[in-house]
Amino acid sequence: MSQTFRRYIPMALSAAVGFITIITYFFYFPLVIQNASSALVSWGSILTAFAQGLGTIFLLRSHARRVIRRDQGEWIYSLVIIISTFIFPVLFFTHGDTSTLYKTLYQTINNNIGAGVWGILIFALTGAVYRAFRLQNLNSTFLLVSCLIVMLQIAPVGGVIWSGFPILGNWIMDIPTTGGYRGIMVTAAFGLIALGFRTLFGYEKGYLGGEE
Amino acid sequence: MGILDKLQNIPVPIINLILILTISVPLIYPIGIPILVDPMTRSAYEVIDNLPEGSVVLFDYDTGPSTVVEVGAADKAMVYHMFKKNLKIIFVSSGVNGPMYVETDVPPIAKRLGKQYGVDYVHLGYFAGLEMGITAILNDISSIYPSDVHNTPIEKLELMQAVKNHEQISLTIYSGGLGDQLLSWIRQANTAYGITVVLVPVGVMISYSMPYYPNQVAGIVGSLRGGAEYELLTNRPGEAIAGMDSLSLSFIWIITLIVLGNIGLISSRMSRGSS
Amino acid sequence: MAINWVEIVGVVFGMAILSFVFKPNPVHRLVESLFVGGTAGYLLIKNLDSAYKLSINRVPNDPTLVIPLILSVLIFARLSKEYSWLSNYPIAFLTAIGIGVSVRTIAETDIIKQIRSTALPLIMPSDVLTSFNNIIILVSTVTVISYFLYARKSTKTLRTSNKIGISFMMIAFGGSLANSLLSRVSRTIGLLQSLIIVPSAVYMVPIMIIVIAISAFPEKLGLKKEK
Repeated sequence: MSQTFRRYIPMALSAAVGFITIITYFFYFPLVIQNASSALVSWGSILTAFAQGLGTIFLLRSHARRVIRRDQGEWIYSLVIIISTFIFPVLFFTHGDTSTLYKTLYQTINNNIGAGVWGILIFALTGAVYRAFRLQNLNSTFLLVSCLIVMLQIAPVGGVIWSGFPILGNWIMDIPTTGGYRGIMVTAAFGLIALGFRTLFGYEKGYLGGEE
Repeated sequence: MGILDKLQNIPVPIINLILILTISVPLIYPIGIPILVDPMTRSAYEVIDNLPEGSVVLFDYDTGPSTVVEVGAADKAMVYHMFKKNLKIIFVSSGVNGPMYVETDVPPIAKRLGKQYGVDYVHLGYFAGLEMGITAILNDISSIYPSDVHNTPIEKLELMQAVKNHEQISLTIYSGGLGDQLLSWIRQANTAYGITVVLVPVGVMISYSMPYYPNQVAGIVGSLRGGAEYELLTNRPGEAIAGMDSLSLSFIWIITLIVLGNIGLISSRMSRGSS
Repeated sequence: MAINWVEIVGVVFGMAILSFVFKPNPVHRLVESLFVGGTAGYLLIKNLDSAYKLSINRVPNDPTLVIPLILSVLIFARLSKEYSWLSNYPIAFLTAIGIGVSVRTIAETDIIKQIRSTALPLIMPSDVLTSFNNIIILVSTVTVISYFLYARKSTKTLRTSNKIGISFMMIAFGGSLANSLLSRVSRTIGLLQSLIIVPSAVYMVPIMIIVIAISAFPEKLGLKKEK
């Protein structure tokens, strides 16, 4: 009984909803079924909105535990995370999301720091490229030469150094890169279709995490 | 041989410092290296340029703090271009940060070109659900957006009285860094409904977009370089063109590092071989 | 003279983040924590606002929306060990919808149309370059697919095909890496633009260098006893 409610009914629900969504795309059904299928898809957006809120709650819970335990050297930062999590929700209710204060704080916190966090990745990547990019064998030579030529196509100075770099770089992107990624996409598509149907048929149960 | 071994082990602080200099100095003292326009960017430009006046464009403005530098310039240039061509734009956003950037970027351009909110463009805001959200929007916009970002019911917006679903949309543009979302727009807009799609991806996603160009994706305006090219095509030099000299010098430095490292390796191999 | 606090704070935060490149320090960690919390809070409120407008606000006009609302509440059962199985229902629903909308179009987008784009004329005496390009596209696509689908390499032909596939993938990854570098350098250009091309950078950058040096090297400056 408990397995029925915990595992089998959710799997049946998943199969029913999934197959309705797929079949109504390929075949014409009475309008009420088509509308039901469209409604199910829009309900997915509602659930996603709530589910993304759950992630923040997990974050708060994990950092609250560190603050309570007074983890040495860490609890201050966890306290900052918890306090700053409430900045935008509180401002949303007190001032609204179109207020100048809300937009200014977004600009200073999310925009400025966010741009900075992503802006320092190049330093790690440059060091890694410098140390790892060595001519070890034929395949590493292909990788290296292709990367260098495309870099000289991307950088405007490449066209100044030699007019052939933009042409060669475009050729590399248009022909072998397209072919290579096309092969990857086709294979990935086969895999996704297989995984999707396995999930709907109940062979994959990994998404039923937690207590089953 | 000592020098050649050192070429393989340049200290990281030196590498980082020189990288900062190669990016910073051209920002203060621009060089003005000429930029060539890539065929994919030109293709995207021509798609927009050839749309009849009054056509409706659905623009997924998925810009955020991580991607604003890369795609922000291209976004603004494209919005300017579309307003100049008297196209109608519906702004949506699959990312939570997008609406903030729409509110910052679009009104000044609209005001300069005399475009009216509700008539020439509307901003519907964030939608949750990624691919599910896209499917729902293309089936029936009101199922995801009962109101716009200013809480105005959409039936009160003149533009939205005429646009209900995919049938009234001529072009879809996705601008952002989510690979899944990029592919979702291709699947749901182009495959399901035959709507033309133009992508403004971040650099990392350009290669993933290549297999779909030109049969499923009409144009790709890739990252900061694509933004600079689009600014060139619309004759509006901006932040993207300003960054191109830095891009050139920093790439030259990275290429120099790779070459120096390999010279050191090859030389040390040859010296070991001879001894 | 009016002080542009937004600009000054922007420089402070930018320098704090940039300092991590040279040495992790408390200033950087504080600013990073502020960002993590701020982003999480912004994400939370935007999603809850979206959920409210889509569901709770519309229930009087559309009572069927009670069903996704109930499922949404059940998601939070995941926080409890005893009742977390209740969250299997909304997760099953979400998984099914996600699979449904993507699987129904993926065959056409990623298989049929891709094969159609690969099946190009191979022998065109009037346009040798295009013939060559079409052959390369066909060979690269087929060999890469064979690499993934026939990983066991049981015959000499498949082993050769796989090797060629790997070579084409290396060329593709080289191009991809170059674009990845474009992406990262672009973001650094943005970061440095915000630090340099602002009037307050003239005094804020040196101030921040001093502050960060003090926080990163307190032992060397005699502010803290060395362990």
